[in-house]
Amino acid sequence: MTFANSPETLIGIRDLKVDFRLDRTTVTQAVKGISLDIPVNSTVALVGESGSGKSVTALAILGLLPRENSTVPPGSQILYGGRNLLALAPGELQKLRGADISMIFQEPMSSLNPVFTIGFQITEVLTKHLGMTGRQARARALELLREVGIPEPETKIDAYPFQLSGGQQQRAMIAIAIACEPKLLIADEPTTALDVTIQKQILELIAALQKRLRMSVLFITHDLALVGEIADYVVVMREGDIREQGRVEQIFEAPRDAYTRALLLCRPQLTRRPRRLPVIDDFMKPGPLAGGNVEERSRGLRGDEEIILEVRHLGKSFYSREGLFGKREFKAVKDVSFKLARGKTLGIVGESGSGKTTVALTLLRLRGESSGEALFDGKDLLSIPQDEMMPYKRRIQIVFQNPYASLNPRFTIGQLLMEPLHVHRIASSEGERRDRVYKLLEEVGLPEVSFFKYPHEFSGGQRQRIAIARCLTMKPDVLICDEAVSALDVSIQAQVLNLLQDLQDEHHMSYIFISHDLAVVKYMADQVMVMNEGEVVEVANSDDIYRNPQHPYTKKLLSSIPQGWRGARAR
Amino acid sequence: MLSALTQPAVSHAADMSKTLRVTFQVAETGFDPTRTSDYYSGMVIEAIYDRLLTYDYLARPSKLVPLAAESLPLITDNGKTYTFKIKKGIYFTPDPAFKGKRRELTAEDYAYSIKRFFDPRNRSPYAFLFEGKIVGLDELGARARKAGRFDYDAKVPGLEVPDRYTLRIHLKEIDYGLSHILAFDLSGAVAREVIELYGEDTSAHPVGSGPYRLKHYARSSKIILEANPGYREKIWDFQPGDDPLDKEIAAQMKGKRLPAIGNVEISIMEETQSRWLAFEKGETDLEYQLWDVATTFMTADGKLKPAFLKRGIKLNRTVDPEITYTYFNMLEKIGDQPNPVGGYSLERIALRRAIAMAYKTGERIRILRKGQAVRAEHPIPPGIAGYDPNYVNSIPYDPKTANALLDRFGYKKGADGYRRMPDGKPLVIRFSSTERDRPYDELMQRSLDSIAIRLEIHKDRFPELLKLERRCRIMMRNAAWIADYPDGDNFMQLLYGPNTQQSNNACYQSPEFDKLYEKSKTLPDGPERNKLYWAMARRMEADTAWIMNDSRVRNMLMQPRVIGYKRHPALHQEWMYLDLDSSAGK
Amino acid sequence: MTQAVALAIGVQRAESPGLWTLAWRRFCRDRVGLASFLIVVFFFGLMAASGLHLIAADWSKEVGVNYAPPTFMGPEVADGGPSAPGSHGGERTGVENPFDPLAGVLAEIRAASGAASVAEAQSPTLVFGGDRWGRDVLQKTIKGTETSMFVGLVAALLAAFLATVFGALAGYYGGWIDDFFNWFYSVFTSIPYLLLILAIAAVLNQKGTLTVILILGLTGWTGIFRLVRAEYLKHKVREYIQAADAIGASHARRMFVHILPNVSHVVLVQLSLHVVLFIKSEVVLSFLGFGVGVDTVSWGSMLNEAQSELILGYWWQLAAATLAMALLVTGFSLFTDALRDALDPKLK
Repeated sequence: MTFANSPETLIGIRDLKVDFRLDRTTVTQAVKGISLDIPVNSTVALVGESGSGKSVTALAILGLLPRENSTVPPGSQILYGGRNLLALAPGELQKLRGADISMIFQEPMSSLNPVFTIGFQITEVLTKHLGMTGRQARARALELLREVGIPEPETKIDAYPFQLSGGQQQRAMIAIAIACEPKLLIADEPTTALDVTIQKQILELIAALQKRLRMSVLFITHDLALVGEIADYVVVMREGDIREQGRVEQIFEAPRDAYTRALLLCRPQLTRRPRRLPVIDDFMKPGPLAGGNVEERSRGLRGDEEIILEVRHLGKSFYSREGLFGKREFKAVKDVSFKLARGKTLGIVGESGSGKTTVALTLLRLRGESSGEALFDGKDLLSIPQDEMMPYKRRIQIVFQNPYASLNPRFTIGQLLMEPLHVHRIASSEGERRDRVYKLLEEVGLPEVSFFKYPHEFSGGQRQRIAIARCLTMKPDVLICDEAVSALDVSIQAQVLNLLQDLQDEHHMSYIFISHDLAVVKYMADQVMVMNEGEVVEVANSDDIYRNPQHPYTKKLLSSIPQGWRGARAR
Repeated sequence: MLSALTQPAVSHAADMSKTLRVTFQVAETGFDPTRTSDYYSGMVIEAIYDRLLTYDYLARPSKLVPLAAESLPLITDNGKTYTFKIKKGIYFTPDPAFKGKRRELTAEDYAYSIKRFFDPRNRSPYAFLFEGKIVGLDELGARARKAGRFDYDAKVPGLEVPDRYTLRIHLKEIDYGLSHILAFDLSGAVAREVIELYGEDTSAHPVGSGPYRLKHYARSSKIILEANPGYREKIWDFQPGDDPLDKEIAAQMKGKRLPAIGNVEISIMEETQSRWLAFEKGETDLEYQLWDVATTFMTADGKLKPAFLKRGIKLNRTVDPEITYTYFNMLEKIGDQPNPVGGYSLERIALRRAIAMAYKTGERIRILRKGQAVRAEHPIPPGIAGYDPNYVNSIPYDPKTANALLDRFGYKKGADGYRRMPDGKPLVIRFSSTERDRPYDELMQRSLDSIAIRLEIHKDRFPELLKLERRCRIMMRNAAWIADYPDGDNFMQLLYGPNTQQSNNACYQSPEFDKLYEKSKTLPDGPERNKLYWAMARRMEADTAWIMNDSRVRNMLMQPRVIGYKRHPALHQEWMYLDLDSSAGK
Repeated sequence: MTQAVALAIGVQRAESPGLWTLAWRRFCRDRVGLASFLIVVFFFGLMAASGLHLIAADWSKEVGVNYAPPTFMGPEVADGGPSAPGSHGGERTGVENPFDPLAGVLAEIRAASGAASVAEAQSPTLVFGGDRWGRDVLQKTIKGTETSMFVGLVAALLAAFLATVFGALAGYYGGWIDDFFNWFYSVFTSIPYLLLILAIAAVLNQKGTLTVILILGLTGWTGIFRLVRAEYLKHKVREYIQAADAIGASHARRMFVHILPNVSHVVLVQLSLHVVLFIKSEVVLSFLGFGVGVDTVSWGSMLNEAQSELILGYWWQLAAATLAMALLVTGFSLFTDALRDALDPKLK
């Protein structure tokens, strides 16, 4: 369907269906027949969680779906300039790619060819599509690099991708994509892998380019807040269907579909802190409407709480070989000190490279030698010899970021959860251990039958629950969540955060919550510690820090958070 | 009127365009007479050096004739003094050792060559040929061993050189075998200057006065001999006997100057198939080492297959003057372990006898030799002085009786089905062989299985086995002996007690046998000596020191152009007596 | 891009149990793989039956005439080859030896026993022919299957065990332990494989099946070691191992309880490959004379015998051993291929 008051349509998708063949007998439908329009000179945001089919749709436009196992039934159409892109010969389609329609991807490091300079990769597009000579192409490439904001373009043009930072790589990708001034730029989660400050810059760049080149941007993301800042139109997808589409103001101010509403409200807000985060089910099932639980939770330290863990002047360096005999020191953590109160949450925020993960791993003695002290229950955790560490390992546990990698794929859930019991010789009999595991499964909200299943049968959120359950087997005093919800979809994220909060309420565990997502941290943490390049920049109660940031870096971080829709924007 | 047919062939020097190509199936070890012992090296040595005596090419049984000597020796002093006159005008082939001068063969050269067998530096495996025979030589040898070097200039009373061309040998006692020993290929004359020049490398630098000299030598690969250009005149003039082959050869060769063939090219080929294919394709001229593939070219009744006859290929069949036997170690102990098959008690004799009765000699000949062998009844093979064609071995093939014999003497079977010693100790026969002998191992296994005796196979390389054998450390092994000279004494000495740790590999020490042997040495070849040999063989069978096996048939295949060939039982090779005639056989 | 596709599919996958069941199902769908699996099972069955002496127990009995031809060819007329000049034929009895101390005993025995021993009836033809001594080639082939397969299996197990332990230690610990094992590995792989086993076989004078197994197992671990070490290097830095470390699992536990199940499919495929390799190596060793002893038969010893038989025109032992070997090696190799596909599938 077309939008009301829509200008001319650039790309029209009609009844697009995409099927994937898993093996000889199973076929799944990734996209179940969607229709949408991408108007000229505007930004369309395609929003959905994992498995919604948004990336598949984007790939279908450019004909990039894997040929071995994907099929698009003949009824589907993608119209561009009067032609059906799905029916084009490969040679014709190739002429369009890079010239009329380009795409940028989520992971710039793996999307750029590591053995060619970025200059070569930009000029390649120019010579192939625009027929420029080498010299012309190089001159144009310099222009482009300047335009996308890469400093010192004369030197960087001959740099290899690994020599650039993440943000610069993404800029280089954008340069390649806009080199031929395409009519449509498809951006598939281009900022998800970037730090929040860099994210802001890239978004601004894309917006500027869109305006200057008068091109359309199809922006795929899972982050509604982002959408609000950049999009003109929004399309919400779930499990292969379009739930809602319309102009941005309509989606944000008056969402018609329950799912859209759920998406909008499940994210932790900077302004409110409900006792429980609403989850998708709250909206999808009949019952009390959105925002069921409006009771607020207060957070913050008064100063008289019992301190369970005190870290003083923690430092960690990594050494690398330089030349034949030299050693180069890289200080990942420089002089970090903090106090963790019992039953409270300390949030650590920072961008990538700030050292927040290193702090956590060092505390757990997973990273070897370090300097400083970590006083826990009267003993310095960092100086206990390895063979005496066992009783202390139980009491500080960690949930890792990647739910797909932190569980041993060859263990059943039962084995995974029994493992800590075996190692620490908890409980006196096998039967007793089993009972414990079943209780834990129930506590994290998984069915009993999960005991016999394998990790690959569970979704990301469920796996994080299993990881949390694994930590709980040992009844730790401190639980470190290292970006534990960062890889999860919004709706799942809410569920897991709720779970964590329930557990803290129940067992009075102390949390160290590490994340780059400031909204989540504000929701979960009592105190927030901001780190930058291995150093602590600011520590304060979470409410104070957000309302009244002191340090310039903190201010910069906070201002980079996408706010979402804030009313009509000047166009 | 003389017809063209009866006119003798025109004499001419060796034809250098002719090349005789032959093979060795084992690599040579070297061409210094005192540093080698193998048959194949002996062939080359025989062609290069001049002995005092040799054998008439056609006469059978073997007849001694002079070679470097003017005539057969003058034997005086009750058979204890041999006087030889060396022919004048025999020259060594040129060599840098002679410093550009032409070097004549003298009597002193023979004295020197004999002395070399006693030089401890040479460690000659054939020293036994001269040991204990020549007056004063053993004592000089003992002194040399003590001093570490041999004094070649010292006077040996038994080796007298009264003048340049006369050699007089004085023996300690009568020895009828001396002439044969002097006709043996290792008794050729070497030049002192050559030996002193080449030091330890004499094996690769043979310089002789014989019909051929070494032209090209690639170790273990190729040996090329060329006719000695300075060889004295020698005309083929042997008297044919009754054998029709003699007449045929005489017609072809009479009057020709020898050697007729200018080059002899010897290739080392270890695989039977390679040798066969090489001959079959015409790449070699003579080939006899083809026992395994006899059925490819021979019919069941011993003739060449028609396909080969059509090509003109010739076959000459003789029984080699050799015996193969399986020996038992006769000592009570091997090293410091008790030896189950050794000793002379009745029960040990019974054990050995039972094994001999169970050994499948018939199958060995029929299947492993492919029928190309005859049963060896007696330690002396056909064609050798002392051979008795009517002798029949007293030990039959009778596994049933063998089993009964073992039962009788208390070799009871244990729980595992194998027999034990009468005192209950385990009985294991340790049989030694090399890697390539698996079929013979299997034969031994099956033979011993038929009398329920446990077998253990011990594998090692041939030189190592010989070393162990010299120390009497081998319990049982298949051995073979080919005649060095055509006299039965050369075979009987294998059982002589004092030869233990040399050629007596069974380490057999029977006082009765030894007495008979010593007596036989005082007799010339004849019925009296044969009677002694009969008794000695029966004694050996009574003690069962050996299981007699077989003597192999030599099937000599020749290309059609090879003429003049008759196998000589004593000579190792016949190259100087052959000729190549491309018109023959068509 | 691929991750999005994979996610799209993964979330919707229906319930299916662990790796091995999955692999089994995948395996069963591959017809070639199934057929080859059946062949392998058949050979295993032969090996077991032969090892338990249910069949081919009398392989060493001479049931046929020497070089008995196969039944479908009909009996041979003459055998053994041309006769030799002047040979004494027939039995010899009654030859007296006056010096024989056993004469009396022997006479007694002969008198008591009477009839001479009856030779066992020997068949003129056998199903697949007879060898030099008249032993049944078919039975020898079956027995040879047992020997060759046993050697191949046990040697492969030994090599896999060594390689897994070495690879785990080297990959997991790294540092000087890894350096040591790499040096050790380099020594072994720098020598050409066949020369290495021949050299060791020549030095070890002990002959027999056990020696062959030891030789093959102690020299053949290098390929598996390299792979296992790489797997351990890869898995050691994975997060689930960090998690195991955080839980407090010891090094040994992490190596062999946590990582090993993730590596076992690699080891299994390599094991299967090496069984084939060792069967071939054993055949080569026995063919060259360094293998099993005279009282054991293996395909290699059969080929060794066939060498000299072939030029005489007796081809059945060569054919039998070659056929059996070809069938097993091909079947096993295809099975290994299918196994690898089943355990490590790519999307089709």
